[in-house]
Amino acid sequence: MTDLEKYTNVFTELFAKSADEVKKLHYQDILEWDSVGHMTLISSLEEAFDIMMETDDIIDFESYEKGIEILKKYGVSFDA
Amino acid sequence: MAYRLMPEKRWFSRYVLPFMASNMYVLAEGEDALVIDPQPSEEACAALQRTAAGRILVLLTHEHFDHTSGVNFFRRHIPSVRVLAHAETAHHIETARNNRPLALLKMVAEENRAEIMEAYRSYPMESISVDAHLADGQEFLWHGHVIDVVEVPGHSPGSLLFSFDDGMVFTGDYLIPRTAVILRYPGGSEEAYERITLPKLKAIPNGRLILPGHGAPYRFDGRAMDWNQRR
Repeated sequence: MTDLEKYTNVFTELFAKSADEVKKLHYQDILEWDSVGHMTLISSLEEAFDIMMETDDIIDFESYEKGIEILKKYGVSFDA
Repeated sequence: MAYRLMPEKRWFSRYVLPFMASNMYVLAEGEDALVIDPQPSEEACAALQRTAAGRILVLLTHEHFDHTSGVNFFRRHIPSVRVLAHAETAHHIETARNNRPLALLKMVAEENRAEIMEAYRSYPMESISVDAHLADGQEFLWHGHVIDVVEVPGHSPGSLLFSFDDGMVFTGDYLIPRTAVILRYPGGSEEAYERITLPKLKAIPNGRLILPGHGAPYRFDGRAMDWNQRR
């Protein structure tokens, strides 16, 4: 499984949406991605990639796309 | 901010954590104090030092930071602090990164960012140790008071209720006034809530004084179960 698949799986499992649906998601687009969902998302991603995100990154993590940009800083590779 | 309560003629003080509005309950008797869900309150610490409380027994209703953030604070200020919690809570909070106040971060808005970030950074990211584990059905005495332990998973794996002298129940993040129980945090479980916890909450006798983890204490009745719909 690639890191991109692993990343997408965290979203699909947590928010019960398809891969195509989560790729367009922004914070608060759906009920499940509220402040509670955000905490769970961050914890799940940190566990999946064995990283610990900086405070500003947790605040700035506003969308699926933005998350990819942020996780690259922690050495997660999204190259195909 | 501290509120003084006198349930069943015993003085408890309730302290409310800024931003999170989580409750810490304190009962001082002689040189001892019972603290439920400690938070880093200078006001509480000064009050305990005035009453010469040198020994604190801490009970944790569950593992979330707003219910554990004062453990190490009190350990730094009070000579003897003994902490009891569910084994799942103990396991969770021994990892420092699990004790970050992440919930604060999505409260950030343009107008309060500095204030929230200051609060966030005031919580040191450190491991919290528990001295002994509690499990369902345990009963113990503190200063002649009978405390019963009830496991209530669902909100978190390490959630406990504490029944105090059969008159009061400390419910942590269950039975919060006008607030649905949250089962979506990491480790939360709808299945465990429905199967294990809900029957126990429904079995609380009417009239019992509920001391929730957020909001003001109240007498248990049917309304509480209406509030406790899951989300």
